[in-house]
Amino acid sequence: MNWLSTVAGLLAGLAGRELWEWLPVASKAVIFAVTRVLPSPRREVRCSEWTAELEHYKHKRVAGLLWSASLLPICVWETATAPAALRRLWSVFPLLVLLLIGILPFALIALEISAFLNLPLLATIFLFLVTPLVLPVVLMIVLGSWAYLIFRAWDRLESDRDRSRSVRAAGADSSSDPRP
Amino acid sequence: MGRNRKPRITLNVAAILAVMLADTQRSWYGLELAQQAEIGSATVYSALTRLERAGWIKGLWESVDPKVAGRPRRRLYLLTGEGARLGAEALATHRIRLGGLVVPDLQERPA
Repeated sequence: MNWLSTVAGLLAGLAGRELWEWLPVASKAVIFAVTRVLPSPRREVRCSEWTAELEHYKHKRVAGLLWSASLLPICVWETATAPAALRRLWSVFPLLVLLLIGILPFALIALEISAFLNLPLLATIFLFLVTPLVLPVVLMIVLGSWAYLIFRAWDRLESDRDRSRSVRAAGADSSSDPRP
Repeated sequence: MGRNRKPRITLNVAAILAVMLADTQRSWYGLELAQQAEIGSATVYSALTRLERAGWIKGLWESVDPKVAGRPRRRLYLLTGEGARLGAEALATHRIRLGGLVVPDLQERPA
């Protein structure tokens, strides 16, 4: 098997001295991944800031990798405590309600069918577990993507409104400026 | 944005303020502050975010050419005028509050 020997060779190479060379790249990748948790303007700032500070661990590569992984809780904390976090939570709330409403009929239908058909244990378990769990997951993905799109559009609208409000305020300030 | 709201003075925040107040004109980068303040290299950013949101410090990008410096530009933190004033006050209050909690030196105790 030719491809297997190629993969084995690649892995052996990575596990050798090259692995050491890859650690800073891995650290940068970790920083890039963890900063995805942050909201947009903050994300780019933090990503650049931490990538630059990775230079601090130039000669301590393993420590650098560990440090970059330890930044995840900070990103989660920053996102959760961001002023817009509450707004974001409220936008997820209708989705949760929809999910609960979505799960309920499936559970009831499964219960009704199993009782009505007097199904064997395995079929009842299938109906009770697979139907109420898998179908809401599908529903969640569909509704979740819709909610995400709506949220993104709404968030953009909000930021546009904020921007126009600040531009208007800046215009009012400059018109009341007594300087020539 | 909840700007200009007084930040909670935790031990990390107090340690950062103490370092920055020692030289109010100097700008620091995160890991340098963490080393000087002797706090966790990851937790320093939570404290910096708190101070930045309150308007006590401001973050700015280092004015170096990455090609010349051979490394990316760092994000530096500088105390604002308001931050220096309120930070000094907060630190003084914090020291007074902690003063009563200082553990006496065990070596001074009679055997």
